[in-house]
Amino acid sequence: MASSKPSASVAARLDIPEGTCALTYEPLDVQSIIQSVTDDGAGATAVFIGTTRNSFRGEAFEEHIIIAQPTTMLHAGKVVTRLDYQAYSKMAIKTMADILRDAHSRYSRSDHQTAQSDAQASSLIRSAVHHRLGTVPVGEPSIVIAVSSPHRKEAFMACELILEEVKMKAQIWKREFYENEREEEAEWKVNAGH
Amino acid sequence: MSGDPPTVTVLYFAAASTATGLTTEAVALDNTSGGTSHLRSRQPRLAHVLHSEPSIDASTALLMARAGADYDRTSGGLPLSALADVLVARHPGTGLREILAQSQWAVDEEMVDDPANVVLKGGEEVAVICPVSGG
Repeated sequence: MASSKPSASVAARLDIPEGTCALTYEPLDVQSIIQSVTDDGAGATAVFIGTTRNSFRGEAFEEHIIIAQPTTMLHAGKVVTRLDYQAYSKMAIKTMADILRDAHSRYSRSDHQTAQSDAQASSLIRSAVHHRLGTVPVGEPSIVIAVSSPHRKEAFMACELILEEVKMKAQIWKREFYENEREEEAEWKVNAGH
Repeated sequence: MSGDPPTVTVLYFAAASTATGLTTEAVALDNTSGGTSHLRSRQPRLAHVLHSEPSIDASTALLMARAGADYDRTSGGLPLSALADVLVARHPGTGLREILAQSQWAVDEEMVDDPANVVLKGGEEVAVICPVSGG
């Protein structure tokens, strides 16, 4: 039996000057999310994709970083059949927007030798964080973060910061279902740091 | 009799939702039907609880009586720090107390840093925010 869906766990979208936050029950369109942050001034676009993987020894999560080789860790142990996500959406979407604003203001000074106008602006151009809700089958993305910037250092750092902040603060919960275990016993996970 | 008691809407997510079997419920701030906050001392309040909810066990009745004591019409509400007892009394034996001990509160879409500073007056949306696991 699926997790009961709270009426507060709705799809949501919030567009702010820094970028876009979204919660959706639809499969995440990675290319579209990357496209949403492109800009002629962007020398770098960093992308993080978090995907449900099929085995568990601590976490049912496989991380892909664009530009690096994807790493798939094989673990003996329990097999994840799916992940369910729910959110207190109207809070989670605002938390995600605050995280984007925080990232853009943190990377607001450029270490690079640039024209005067660049030195005052955010080093980030545009960000997007999209999180999927509901049942996410193995092999499909549950979160996609994209950040564009003139320079790669800020893009990488902002992308990581947004991920870590979402994991720590966003009012979103994940439940893991394992093969050969009763659905009623499926655990609601807790991110590290709690 | 006075009008309907002030109520809050409580939202349950994740483990709290699984434990209670609910995603939302309306909770009267003085907790018992008819209210007990007008009763000044604990014994008549306890008797009122036992009378109005005859199937309830003694320890749950004590929790509800205590919650009724916490609701203070003069200060205009129930301290948020007392809400846990109210909710646990409504869902005995579910493990909700342990879950609430690890959770934060959100009131009207704002995270609460110190529950001791918040007094519920009625009409608020109060969410149980279990440790999160997004991303």
